[in-house]
Amino acid sequence: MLALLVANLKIMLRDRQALLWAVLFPLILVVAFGVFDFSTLGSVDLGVVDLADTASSRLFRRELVGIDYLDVRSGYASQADAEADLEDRDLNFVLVIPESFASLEGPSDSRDRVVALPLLYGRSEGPGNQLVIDAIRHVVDRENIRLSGFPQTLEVAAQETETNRADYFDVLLIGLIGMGMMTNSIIFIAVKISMYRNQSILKRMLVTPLPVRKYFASEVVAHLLLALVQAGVVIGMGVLVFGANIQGNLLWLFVIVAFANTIFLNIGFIISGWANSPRAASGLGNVVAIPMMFFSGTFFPTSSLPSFLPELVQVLPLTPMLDAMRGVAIDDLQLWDVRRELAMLAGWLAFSSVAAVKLFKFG
Amino acid sequence: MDDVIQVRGLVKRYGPLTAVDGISFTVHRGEVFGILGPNGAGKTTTLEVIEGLQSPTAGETAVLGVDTRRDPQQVKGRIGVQLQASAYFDFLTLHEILTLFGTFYPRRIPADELLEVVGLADRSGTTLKKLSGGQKQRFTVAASLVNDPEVVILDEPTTGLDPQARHNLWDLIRQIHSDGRTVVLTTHYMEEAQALCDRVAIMDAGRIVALDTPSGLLLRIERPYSVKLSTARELSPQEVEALRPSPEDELTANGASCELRVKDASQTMAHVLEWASDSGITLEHLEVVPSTLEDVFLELTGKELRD
Repeated sequence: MLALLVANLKIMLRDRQALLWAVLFPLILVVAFGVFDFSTLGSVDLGVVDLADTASSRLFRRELVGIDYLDVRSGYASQADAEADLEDRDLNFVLVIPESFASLEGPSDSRDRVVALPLLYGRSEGPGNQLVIDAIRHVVDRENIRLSGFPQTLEVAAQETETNRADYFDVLLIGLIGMGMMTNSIIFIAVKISMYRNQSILKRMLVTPLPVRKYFASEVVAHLLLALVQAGVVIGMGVLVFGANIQGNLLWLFVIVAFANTIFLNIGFIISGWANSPRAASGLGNVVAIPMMFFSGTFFPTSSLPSFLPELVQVLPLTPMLDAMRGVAIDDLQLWDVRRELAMLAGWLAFSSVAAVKLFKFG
Repeated sequence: MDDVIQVRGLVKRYGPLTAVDGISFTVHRGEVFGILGPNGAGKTTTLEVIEGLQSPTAGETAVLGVDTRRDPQQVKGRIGVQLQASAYFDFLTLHEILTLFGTFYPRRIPADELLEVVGLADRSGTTLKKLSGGQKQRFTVAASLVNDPEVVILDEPTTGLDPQARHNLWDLIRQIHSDGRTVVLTTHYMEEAQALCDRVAIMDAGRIVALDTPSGLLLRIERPYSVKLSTARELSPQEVEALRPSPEDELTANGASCELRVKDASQTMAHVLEWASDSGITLEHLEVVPSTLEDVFLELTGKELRD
C-alpha cells in the first residue's frame, strides 16, 4: 500500500497544472478578500441641500461631517441638482434641510410642529443603507435634544475589548480553507476516478490481486495529505501576508480538516460512480460543491439565509465542519467543545462511506 | 497433457443479452490458444470471467486447478493479463509503473528485465504517452508478465497496429511462449490465429462453432483451394463450362476472369492447363490460393469475420 501511496503522490505532484490549481484557487480568494479592509464600511457620499442656511442648519451639517464614513458634500443650490448627482451615482444619499428648519431658531410657539428632513437614496446601495440612515437619525436625535433644551443624560461608551479580536477576514479565511478542501476533494477525486474508469485503469488494477480496500486507502491518504498542505498554505498566506488572527489550536484545525476531508472524498467517489465521463463528473461535482460553498457559511453567516434554510444547511457536511474549524481556530475551543459538530461529521462519514462502497463502479 | 484452463458450460447474460451462451473448452499447458471471432462474439467476456473480473451467469471456470469464482485472488496472482484498450497512469514512467504493479504480487520480475524483454529498456524513464502504438502494446505485454505468470491472457493484442508493429508483437508472443508460458489470446485477425496458435476456438454470437488446430480447421472446408485465372479474351459460356473439372466443384466467371473452388489443387491445375491448350486460350494469370481461417469462418457461420 505504501508503494501505491507513493505512486499516487508522485502522480499528484507531477500533474503540476492540477496541483497548482488546487493550491492556487483558495489562495486567489485569500488575496482577493485580503486586500479589502473589512473593519470599515468604506465611504458613503452624502449630498446636503441646505435650503435654510441658518446657524442651526450649519451646526447640524457640522455634526454630519463628524461621522467617519460619511463624505458630506454641501453647496447644492437646489434639491434638483443633488438629485441629478444621485441619479448619476455621484452621490449615495441626498439629505434636504428645508427652509422651515429656520423656524426652529425662533420662539417655541412660532415653530412648525415637526420639520421633516427628506433623505433620498437608491436601492442598489444594499444593506449599508440602514447603517447610514441610523447614523443620520442619531444626529437628528441629538439636535432634537439640543433644541428642546433638555440635557443629555445617557450616552453609549463604545470600547473595543481584547476578548475576541477576530474580524471578518479571519472568519472568512477558515471558510476558504474549508471551501478549497471541499471542492478539491469532491471534484478532483470524481474526475480522476471517472477518467481511470474510462481508460480501464481501474479494471487493470482489478485483474491484479491487490485488495480493493488498499487502493481506496491509498487514494484517500494521498488526498488527505494534499488537503493538509493546502490548508497550511492558505493559513500561512492569510496570517503572514494579510495578518489574519488565528489564535486557536492549529493541530485541532488540521485534525478536523483531515476528518472532514474523508467525507468529501467519499462524495467524490459516489459522484464518480454516477458519472459516465470525466466531464460529467466535473459537472456533477460542481453541482454538489458550489451550492454547499455558498449555503454552508463560507462567505457569510448561515443565519442570514432566508426562511427555513438556516436549519436546513446545518445538515450539510460543510456547515458543521466550518463551525468546528472556526471554533478551534478563532474561539480557541477544544475538540470536546465542538463535539456536536464532530458527531454530525461522524454521521456523515459513516453514511458517505457506506454509500461510496455501494455506489462505486469499477467498470 | 494437463489443462491450465477449464471452462465448462459458461453462460454470461447482461439483462436480455446473452454474451456467452454455454461454451466449454480447455487450454493445455504450454500451448498458444486462440479465440477467433468478430466483434461482439463474446471473446472478451469469456476472458473476463476466466480472469475473475466478472462472475458467470452459469457454468464454471478454473485456472491452474483453482476455481475462479471461489478464489479469484489466487487466480489473479498466477495469471498475467493484458486487457483490450487499457491505459496506465499518465504521470508515472514505464519503470515506475512496472515496479508499482510488481508490488501487487508476491512474486515479481524486475522492471528493467521486463523492459529488456519487450525491447523498451532505453525508454525506461519515459511516460506511456510518449510511446508509439506498437511500443505501447509491447509495454502492456510487459506489464502482463510482471508477476512471472504461468498463463498469459492477451485480449486482442495487435488490434490497431500497423503490419510491422503487428509482426514485432507476434515475435514477442512467440518469445513468451518459448519461455514455457501458456498463452491465451483473442483476435479477429485470422492470419494472426493461423500464425501464432496451436489451437483455435472460433466464436460467433456467444458460441464456439469450431475448435481445432488451424490445419484441422482448414480440413473442415469442403473445397479448401481456390484456383484463380484470367485469360487474354472473354470466354464464351461453353468455354466456361468446359473449365469446370467436376460437377461438384464451384466455378464463378466474370468476363475474362474465373475462380474455381476445388478439393484437389494439383489435379485442377493440370485440368486448367489442358483446357487452355485444347481451346487455344492464352492464360494471363493462374494461381492457387489455399483457404484461410476466414474461409472456415465464412463456411461455418455464413458470414464474413469482419462484418
